[in-house]
Amino acid sequence: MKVTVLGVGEMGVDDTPGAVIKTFALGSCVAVMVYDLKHKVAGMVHVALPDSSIKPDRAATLPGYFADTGVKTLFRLFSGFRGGMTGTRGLTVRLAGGANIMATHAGFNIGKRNTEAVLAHLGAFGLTPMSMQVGGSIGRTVSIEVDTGRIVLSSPGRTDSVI
Amino acid sequence: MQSMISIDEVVGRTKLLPLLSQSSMRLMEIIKDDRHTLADIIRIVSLDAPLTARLLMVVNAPAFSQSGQVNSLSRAVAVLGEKVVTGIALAMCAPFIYENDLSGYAGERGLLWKHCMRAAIASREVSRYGAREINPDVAFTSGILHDIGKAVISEYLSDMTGLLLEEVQTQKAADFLDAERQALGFDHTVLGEAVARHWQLPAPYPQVVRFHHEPMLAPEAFRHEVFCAHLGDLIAMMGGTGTGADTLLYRLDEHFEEYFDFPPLWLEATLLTVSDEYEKTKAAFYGE
Repeated sequence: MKVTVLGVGEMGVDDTPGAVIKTFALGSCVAVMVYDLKHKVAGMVHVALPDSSIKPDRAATLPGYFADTGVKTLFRLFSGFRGGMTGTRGLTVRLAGGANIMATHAGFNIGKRNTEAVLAHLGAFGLTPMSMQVGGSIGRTVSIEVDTGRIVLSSPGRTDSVI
Repeated sequence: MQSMISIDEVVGRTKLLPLLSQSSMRLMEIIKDDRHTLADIIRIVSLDAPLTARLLMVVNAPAFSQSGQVNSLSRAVAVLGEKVVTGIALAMCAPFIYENDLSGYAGERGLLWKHCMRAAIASREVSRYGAREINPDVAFTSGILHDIGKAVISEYLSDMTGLLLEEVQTQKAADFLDAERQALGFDHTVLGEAVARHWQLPAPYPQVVRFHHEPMLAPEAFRHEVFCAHLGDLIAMMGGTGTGADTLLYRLDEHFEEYFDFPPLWLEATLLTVSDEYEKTKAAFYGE
Protein backbone atom coordinates (compact mmCIF):
# COMPACT_ATOMS: atom_id res chain seq x y z
CA MET A 1 0.00 0.00 0.00
CA LYS A 2 1.34 3.40 -0.97
CA VAL A 3 1.50 5.77 2.02
CA THR A 4 2.59 9.35 1.42
CA VAL A 5 3.68 11.11 4.62
CA LEU A 6 3.49 14.88 4.58
CA GLY A 7 5.77 17.08 6.65
CA VAL A 8 4.92 20.55 7.87
CA GLY A 9 3.86 22.76 4.96
CA GLU A 10 3.76 19.91 2.49
CA MET A 11 0.78 18.90 0.39
CA GLY A 12 -0.17 15.87 -1.63
CA VAL A 13 -2.89 14.76 -4.03
CA ASP A 14 -3.27 11.13 -5.08
CA ASP A 15 -5.57 8.97 -7.18
CA THR A 16 -3.63 5.70 -6.82
CA PRO A 17 -6.04 2.93 -5.79
CA GLY A 18 -5.37 1.85 -2.19
CA ALA A 19 -3.10 4.82 -1.44
CA VAL A 20 -3.16 6.80 1.80
CA ILE A 21 -1.96 10.32 2.57
CA LYS A 22 -0.92 10.88 6.17
CA THR A 23 0.54 13.57 8.38
CA PHE A 24 1.80 13.19 11.95
CA ALA A 25 1.45 15.25 15.12
CA LEU A 26 -0.51 18.28 14.02
CA GLY A 27 -0.29 20.36 17.21
CA SER A 28 -1.48 23.87 16.31
CA CYS A 29 -1.21 23.07 12.60
CA VAL A 30 -4.31 22.28 10.54
CA ALA A 31 -4.68 19.48 8.00
CA VAL A 32 -7.05 20.37 5.18
CA MET A 33 -8.33 17.21 3.50
CA VAL A 34 -10.16 17.30 0.19
CA TYR A 35 -11.90 14.40 -1.51
CA ASP A 36 -13.51 13.87 -4.90
CA LEU A 37 -15.75 10.83 -4.68
CA LYS A 38 -16.52 10.68 -8.41
CA HIS A 39 -12.87 10.67 -9.54
CA LYS A 40 -11.56 8.96 -6.38
CA VAL A 41 -8.95 11.61 -5.66
CA ALA A 42 -7.75 12.58 -2.19
CA GLY A 43 -5.65 15.56 -1.18
CA MET A 44 -4.19 17.03 1.98
CA VAL A 45 -2.17 20.07 3.03
CA HIS A 46 -0.44 20.52 6.42
CA VAL A 47 -0.87 24.22 7.25
CA ALA A 48 1.37 25.67 9.99
CA LEU A 49 0.57 29.41 10.09
CA PRO A 50 -2.40 31.58 9.13
CA ASP A 51 -0.83 34.12 6.79
CA SER A 52 2.09 34.07 4.35
CA SER A 53 2.84 37.78 4.74
CA ILE A 54 5.17 36.89 7.62
CA LYS A 55 7.55 35.14 5.20
CA PRO A 56 6.66 35.47 1.50
CA ASP A 57 9.82 33.69 0.33
CA ARG A 58 8.78 30.59 2.28
CA ALA A 59 5.33 30.78 0.70
CA ALA A 60 6.98 30.80 -2.72
CA THR A 61 8.89 27.58 -2.05
CA LEU A 62 6.47 25.85 0.32
CA PRO A 63 2.98 27.35 -0.17
CA GLY A 64 1.36 24.72 2.02
CA TYR A 65 2.98 26.26 5.08
CA PHE A 66 0.38 29.03 5.21
CA ALA A 67 -3.41 28.95 5.11
CA ASP A 68 -3.77 31.56 2.35
CA THR A 69 -1.29 30.06 -0.11
CA GLY A 70 -1.86 26.46 1.01
CA VAL A 71 -5.59 26.24 0.31
CA LYS A 72 -5.24 27.96 -3.07
CA THR A 73 -2.34 25.76 -4.20
CA LEU A 74 -4.03 22.56 -3.04
CA PHE A 75 -7.03 23.25 -5.27
CA ARG A 76 -4.76 24.10 -8.20
CA LEU A 77 -2.92 20.81 -7.70
CA PHE A 78 -6.21 18.99 -7.33
CA SER A 79 -7.59 20.19 -10.66
CA GLY A 80 -4.75 18.36 -12.43
CA PHE A 81 -6.13 15.09 -11.09
CA ARG A 82 -9.67 15.85 -12.30
CA GLY A 83 -8.93 16.15 -15.96
CA GLY A 84 -8.16 19.84 -15.60
CA MET A 85 -11.58 20.47 -14.14
CA THR A 86 -11.37 23.72 -12.22
CA GLY A 87 -13.73 24.86 -9.50
CA THR A 88 -14.67 22.97 -6.40
CA ARG A 89 -17.90 21.27 -7.47
CA GLY A 90 -18.04 17.67 -6.26
CA LEU A 91 -15.38 18.17 -3.60
CA THR A 92 -15.82 17.56 0.11
CA VAL A 93 -13.51 19.10 2.68
CA ARG A 94 -12.71 18.04 6.21
CA LEU A 95 -10.34 19.60 8.76
CA ALA A 96 -8.31 18.32 11.68
CA GLY A 97 -5.81 19.88 14.09
CA GLY A 98 -5.70 23.50 15.18
CA ALA A 99 -5.06 22.56 18.80
CA ASN A 100 -3.92 24.98 21.48
CA ILE A 101 -2.05 24.83 24.75
CA MET A 102 -4.08 25.61 27.86
CA ALA A 103 -4.00 29.39 27.72
CA THR A 104 -6.32 32.34 27.50
CA HIS A 105 -3.62 34.58 26.02
CA ALA A 106 -4.83 35.49 22.52
CA GLY A 107 -1.31 35.49 21.10
CA PHE A 108 -0.93 31.80 21.85
CA ASN A 109 -4.13 30.74 20.08
CA ILE A 110 -2.32 29.98 16.84
CA GLY A 111 -4.34 26.77 16.40
CA LYS A 112 -7.56 28.71 16.52
CA ARG A 113 -6.24 31.36 14.15
CA ASN A 114 -5.04 28.66 11.73
CA THR A 115 -8.51 27.12 11.70
CA GLU A 116 -10.20 30.49 11.19
CA ALA A 117 -7.84 31.38 8.34
CA VAL A 118 -8.39 28.03 6.62
CA LEU A 119 -12.17 28.43 6.92
CA ALA A 120 -12.00 31.93 5.45
CA HIS A 121 -9.93 30.79 2.46
CA LEU A 122 -12.18 27.77 1.88
CA GLY A 123 -15.13 30.17 2.03
CA ALA A 124 -13.58 32.14 -0.82
CA PHE A 125 -13.92 28.94 -2.89
CA GLY A 126 -17.52 28.53 -1.75
CA LEU A 127 -16.65 25.57 0.46
CA THR A 128 -17.58 24.72 4.04
CA PRO A 129 -16.06 21.66 5.71
CA MET A 130 -18.38 18.69 5.92
CA SER A 131 -16.86 17.87 9.31
CA MET A 132 -13.93 18.91 11.44
CA GLN A 133 -12.12 17.80 14.51
CA VAL A 134 -10.25 20.92 15.55
CA GLY A 135 -9.24 22.82 18.66
CA GLY A 136 -8.85 21.53 22.18
CA SER A 137 -5.47 20.52 23.58
CA ILE A 138 -4.92 17.35 21.56
CA GLY A 139 -2.04 16.42 19.27
CA ARG A 140 -3.52 14.65 16.25
CA THR A 141 -2.20 12.35 13.54
CA VAL A 142 -4.48 12.09 10.52
CA SER A 143 -4.77 10.06 7.31
CA ILE A 144 -7.08 10.01 4.30
CA GLU A 145 -7.72 6.98 2.06
CA VAL A 146 -7.91 7.48 -1.70
CA ASP A 147 -10.42 4.64 -2.25
CA THR A 148 -13.07 5.89 0.15
CA GLY A 149 -12.12 9.34 1.43
CA ARG A 150 -12.22 7.83 4.92
CA ILE A 151 -10.27 9.94 7.41
CA VAL A 152 -8.77 8.40 10.54
CA LEU A 153 -7.51 10.43 13.48
CA SER A 154 -5.26 9.13 16.21
CA SER A 155 -3.74 10.64 19.34
CA PRO A 156 -1.48 9.04 21.96
CA GLY A 157 -3.50 7.49 24.80
CA ARG A 158 -6.82 7.93 22.99
CA THR A 159 -8.99 5.71 20.80
CA ASP A 160 -8.79 6.31 17.04
CA SER A 161 -11.75 8.09 15.46
CA VAL A 162 -13.15 8.59 11.97
CA ILE A 163 -14.48 11.87 10.61
CA MET B 1 -7.15 8.94 43.01
CA GLN B 2 -3.78 8.42 44.70
CA SER B 3 -1.37 5.52 44.64
CA MET B 4 0.68 4.27 47.58
CA ILE B 5 4.10 5.04 46.12
CA SER B 6 6.32 7.06 48.41
CA ILE B 7 8.11 10.08 46.97
CA ASP B 8 11.15 9.24 49.12
CA GLU B 9 11.33 5.79 47.57
CA VAL B 10 11.15 7.15 44.03
CA VAL B 11 13.63 9.96 44.70
CA GLY B 12 15.89 7.36 46.31
CA ARG B 13 15.82 5.40 43.07
CA THR B 14 16.99 8.42 41.09
CA LYS B 15 20.20 8.27 43.13
CA LEU B 16 20.96 4.92 41.53
CA LEU B 17 21.00 6.43 38.02
CA PRO B 18 24.42 6.61 36.36
CA LEU B 19 26.18 9.97 36.58
CA LEU B 20 26.74 12.15 33.53
CA SER B 21 30.01 11.88 31.63
CA GLN B 22 32.83 14.25 32.52
CA SER B 23 32.68 15.76 29.04
CA SER B 24 28.95 16.59 29.37
CA MET B 25 29.47 18.20 32.75
CA ARG B 26 32.43 20.22 31.54
CA LEU B 27 30.58 21.34 28.40
CA MET B 28 27.60 22.53 30.45
CA GLU B 29 29.90 24.42 32.81
CA ILE B 30 31.98 26.01 30.10
CA ILE B 31 29.16 27.26 27.87
CA LYS B 32 27.79 29.21 30.84
CA ASP B 33 31.00 31.22 30.91
CA ASP B 34 30.81 33.99 28.29
CA ARG B 35 34.61 34.05 28.02
CA HIS B 36 34.87 30.52 26.63
CA THR B 37 36.19 29.92 23.12
CA LEU B 38 35.59 27.27 20.49
CA ALA B 39 39.01 25.86 21.35
CA ASP B 40 37.78 25.17 24.90
CA ILE B 41 34.88 23.12 23.52
CA ILE B 42 37.12 21.22 21.12
CA ARG B 43 39.58 20.42 23.91
CA ILE B 44 36.84 18.82 26.02
CA VAL B 45 35.30 16.86 23.17
CA SER B 46 38.66 15.61 21.95
CA LEU B 47 39.09 13.69 25.20
CA ASP B 48 35.86 11.77 24.58
CA ALA B 49 36.37 9.38 21.67
CA PRO B 50 32.75 8.10 21.33
CA LEU B 51 31.46 11.68 21.37
CA THR B 52 33.98 12.70 18.72
CA ALA B 53 32.89 9.80 16.52
CA ARG B 54 29.22 10.68 16.90
CA LEU B 55 29.81 14.34 16.07
CA LEU B 56 31.65 13.41 12.89
CA MET B 57 28.79 11.08 11.92
CA VAL B 58 26.18 13.76 12.54
CA VAL B 59 28.07 16.54 10.77
CA ASN B 60 28.44 14.39 7.69
CA ALA B 61 24.72 13.67 7.50
CA PRO B 62 23.00 15.09 4.40
CA ALA B 63 21.00 17.56 6.51
CA PHE B 64 24.08 19.68 7.09
CA SER B 65 24.74 19.87 3.35
CA GLN B 66 28.52 20.05 3.61
CA SER B 67 30.22 20.34 0.25
CA GLY B 68 32.83 17.82 1.30
CA GLN B 69 33.48 15.25 3.98
CA VAL B 70 34.24 16.76 7.42
CA ASN B 71 37.06 14.81 9.01
CA SER B 72 38.29 17.17 11.69
CA LEU B 73 36.75 17.64 15.09
CA SER B 74 37.33 21.40 15.05
CA ARG B 75 35.41 21.74 11.79
CA ALA B 76 32.63 19.48 13.10
CA VAL B 77 32.19 21.57 16.24
CA ALA B 78 32.23 24.78 14.21
CA VAL B 79 29.56 23.47 11.82
CA LEU B 80 27.27 21.96 14.44
CA GLY B 81 27.61 24.73 16.99
CA GLU B 82 28.45 24.24 20.63
CA LYS B 83 24.82 23.98 21.75
CA VAL B 84 24.10 21.04 19.48
CA VAL B 85 27.40 19.47 20.58
CA THR B 86 26.36 19.76 24.23
CA GLY B 87 22.94 18.31 23.44
CA ILE B 88 24.49 15.34 21.66
CA ALA B 89 26.89 14.79 24.56
CA LEU B 90 23.98 14.70 27.02
CA ALA B 91 21.92 12.33 24.89
CA MET B 92 24.88 9.99 24.49
CA CYS B 93 25.73 9.74 28.17
CA ALA B 94 22.14 9.55 29.42
CA PRO B 95 20.35 7.09 27.09
CA PHE B 96 18.52 5.77 30.16
CA ILE B 97 16.77 9.14 30.21
CA TYR B 98 16.43 10.26 26.62
CA GLU B 99 15.90 6.86 24.99
CA ASN B 100 13.56 5.57 27.68
CA ASP B 101 10.16 4.55 26.43
CA LEU B 102 7.53 6.87 27.84
CA SER B 103 4.82 4.25 28.36
CA GLY B 104 3.22 6.36 31.09
CA TYR B 105 2.62 9.05 28.50
CA ALA B 106 1.82 6.62 25.64
CA GLY B 107 4.95 7.99 23.97
CA GLU B 108 7.30 5.89 21.93
CA ARG B 109 11.03 5.44 22.59
CA GLY B 110 13.09 8.44 21.49
CA LEU B 111 10.20 10.91 21.75
CA LEU B 112 11.64 12.57 24.87
CA TRP B 113 14.86 13.40 23.06
CA LYS B 114 12.98 14.87 20.09
CA HIS B 115 10.77 16.95 22.35
CA CYS B 116 13.70 18.21 24.40
CA MET B 117 15.71 19.10 21.29
CA ARG B 118 12.79 21.08 19.85
CA ALA B 119 12.14 22.75 23.21
CA ALA B 120 15.85 23.62 23.46
CA ILE B 121 15.84 25.35 20.08
CA ALA B 122 12.66 27.22 21.03
CA SER B 123 14.05 28.15 24.44
CA ARG B 124 17.16 29.60 22.80
CA GLU B 125 15.04 31.57 20.29
CA VAL B 126 12.88 32.97 23.09
CA SER B 127 15.98 33.99 25.09
CA ARG B 128 16.77 36.59 22.41
CA TYR B 129 13.83 38.65 23.64
CA GLY B 130 14.71 38.62 27.35
CA ALA B 131 13.95 41.80 29.29
CA ARG B 132 17.42 41.23 30.76
CA GLU B 133 20.27 39.49 29.01
CA ILE B 134 19.82 35.72 28.94
CA ASN B 135 22.67 33.43 27.89
CA PRO B 136 21.25 31.61 24.81
CA ASP B 137 23.46 28.59 25.47
CA VAL B 138 22.05 28.23 28.97
CA ALA B 139 18.54 28.62 27.56
CA PHE B 140 19.27 25.86 25.05
CA THR B 141 20.62 23.46 27.67
CA SER B 142 17.63 24.30 29.89
CA GLY B 143 15.40 23.06 27.10
CA ILE B 144 17.42 19.87 26.72
CA LEU B 145 17.09 19.14 30.45
CA HIS B 146 13.64 20.41 31.40
CA ASP B 147 11.71 17.11 31.13
CA ILE B 148 14.25 14.58 32.45
CA GLY B 149 11.79 13.71 35.22
CA LYS B 150 9.37 12.19 32.71
CA ALA B 151 11.76 9.32 32.04
CA VAL B 152 11.65 8.45 35.75
CA ILE B 153 7.95 8.98 36.47
CA SER B 154 6.76 7.24 33.32
CA GLU B 155 6.80 3.70 34.72
CA TYR B 156 4.65 4.78 37.69
CA LEU B 157 2.04 6.22 35.32
CA SER B 158 1.99 3.37 32.83
CA ASP B 159 -1.34 1.86 33.87
CA MET B 160 -3.12 5.14 34.36
CA THR B 161 -2.51 7.25 31.23
CA GLY B 162 -6.17 7.07 30.18
CA LEU B 163 -7.32 7.91 33.67
CA LEU B 164 -5.06 10.95 33.84
CA LEU B 165 -6.32 12.16 30.47
CA GLU B 166 -9.89 11.80 31.69
CA GLU B 167 -9.09 13.78 34.84
CA VAL B 168 -7.86 16.68 32.71
CA GLN B 169 -10.64 16.43 30.13
CA THR B 170 -13.32 16.46 32.82
CA GLN B 171 -11.49 19.30 34.57
CA LYS B 172 -11.00 17.30 37.75
CA ALA B 173 -7.34 18.12 37.24
CA ALA B 174 -6.20 21.59 36.15
CA ASP B 175 -3.66 20.15 33.70
CA PHE B 176 -1.54 17.02 33.22
CA LEU B 177 0.92 18.12 35.91
CA ASP B 178 -1.95 18.36 38.40
CA ALA B 179 -3.22 14.96 37.23
CA GLU B 180 0.20 13.43 37.98
CA ARG B 181 0.13 14.98 41.46
CA GLN B 182 -3.37 13.73 42.13
CA ALA B 183 -2.45 10.21 40.99
CA LEU B 184 0.95 9.83 42.63
CA GLY B 185 1.33 12.65 45.12
CA PHE B 186 4.24 14.08 43.09
CA ASP B 187 4.98 15.04 39.48
CA HIS B 188 7.71 14.82 36.85
CA THR B 189 9.24 18.17 37.83
CA VAL B 190 9.97 16.99 41.38
CA LEU B 191 11.61 13.80 40.14
CA GLY B 192 13.45 15.76 37.46
CA GLU B 193 14.93 18.04 40.09
CA ALA B 194 16.05 14.97 42.06
CA VAL B 195 17.85 13.68 38.96
CA ALA B 196 19.40 17.12 38.35
CA ARG B 197 20.67 17.25 41.96
CA HIS B 198 22.00 13.69 41.68
CA TRP B 199 23.87 14.73 38.54
CA GLN B 200 25.15 17.76 40.45
CA LEU B 201 23.98 20.09 37.70
CA PRO B 202 24.80 23.74 38.39
CA ALA B 203 22.16 26.47 38.72
CA PRO B 204 19.89 27.32 37.01
CA TYR B 205 19.29 23.78 35.71
CA PRO B 206 17.75 22.16 38.84
CA GLN B 207 15.49 25.22 39.15
CA VAL B 208 14.55 25.07 35.45
CA VAL B 209 13.64 21.40 35.74
CA ARG B 210 11.64 21.93 38.93
CA PHE B 211 9.70 25.05 37.92
CA HIS B 212 9.34 24.90 34.14
CA HIS B 213 5.56 24.53 34.48
CA GLU B 214 5.30 27.05 37.34
CA PRO B 215 7.93 29.68 36.56
CA MET B 216 6.61 32.25 39.01
CA LEU B 217 7.49 29.86 41.86
CA ALA B 218 11.14 29.80 40.79
CA PRO B 219 13.67 31.95 42.68
CA GLU B 220 13.65 35.40 41.07
CA ALA B 221 17.34 35.12 40.11
CA PHE B 222 16.61 32.24 37.71
CA ARG B 223 13.15 33.19 36.53
CA HIS B 224 14.16 34.40 33.05
CA GLU B 225 15.86 31.09 32.25
CA VAL B 226 12.93 29.15 33.72
CA PHE B 227 10.51 31.13 31.54
CA CYS B 228 12.63 30.32 28.47
CA ALA B 229 12.22 26.61 29.17
CA HIS B 230 8.53 27.11 30.00
CA LEU B 231 7.83 28.80 26.67
CA GLY B 232 10.20 26.48 24.79
CA ASP B 233 8.34 23.45 26.14
CA LEU B 234 4.95 24.83 25.04
CA ILE B 235 6.22 25.97 21.63
CA ALA B 236 7.63 22.48 20.99
CA MET B 237 4.23 20.99 21.77
CA MET B 238 2.44 23.51 19.55
CA GLY B 239 4.78 22.45 16.77
CA GLY B 240 3.62 18.88 17.21
CA THR B 241 6.57 17.49 19.18
CA GLY B 242 5.32 16.55 22.61
CA THR B 243 5.98 13.49 24.72
CA GLY B 244 2.72 11.59 24.13
CA ALA B 245 -0.72 11.76 25.70
CA ASP B 246 0.12 14.85 27.76
CA THR B 247 1.00 16.95 24.70
CA LEU B 248 -0.52 20.46 24.94
CA LEU B 249 -2.19 19.65 28.28
CA TYR B 250 -0.16 22.20 30.23
CA ARG B 251 -0.90 25.78 31.20
CA LEU B 252 0.80 28.91 29.97
CA ASP B 253 1.95 31.16 32.81
CA GLU B 254 0.67 34.45 31.52
CA HIS B 255 3.19 36.45 33.57
CA PHE B 256 5.71 35.63 30.84
CA GLU B 257 5.38 39.06 29.25
CA GLU B 258 6.97 40.65 32.35
CA TYR B 259 10.23 38.85 31.54
CA PHE B 260 10.51 39.50 27.80
CA ASP B 261 10.17 42.32 25.29
CA PHE B 262 8.41 40.54 22.46
CA PRO B 263 7.77 42.29 19.14
CA PRO B 264 4.53 41.70 17.21
CA LEU B 265 4.28 38.27 15.54
CA TRP B 266 7.23 36.93 17.56
CA LEU B 267 5.46 33.63 18.18
CA GLU B 268 4.72 33.00 14.50
CA ALA B 269 8.33 33.87 13.59
CA THR B 270 9.65 31.65 16.39
CA LEU B 271 7.49 28.68 15.36
CA LEU B 272 8.87 28.99 11.83
CA THR B 273 12.52 29.21 12.86
CA VAL B 274 12.19 26.42 15.40
CA SER B 275 10.50 24.14 12.88
CA ASP B 276 13.31 24.66 10.34
CA GLU B 277 16.15 24.16 12.81
CA TYR B 278 14.53 21.21 14.51
CA GLU B 279 13.98 19.34 11.24
CA LYS B 280 17.59 19.93 10.27
CA THR B 281 18.97 18.85 13.65
CA LYS B 282 16.70 15.80 13.85
CA ALA B 283 17.71 14.68 10.39
CA ALA B 284 21.37 15.02 11.28
CA PHE B 285 21.04 13.35 14.66
CA TYR B 286 19.30 10.32 13.25
CA GLY B 287 21.64 10.21 10.25
CA GLU B 288 18.83 10.84 7.76
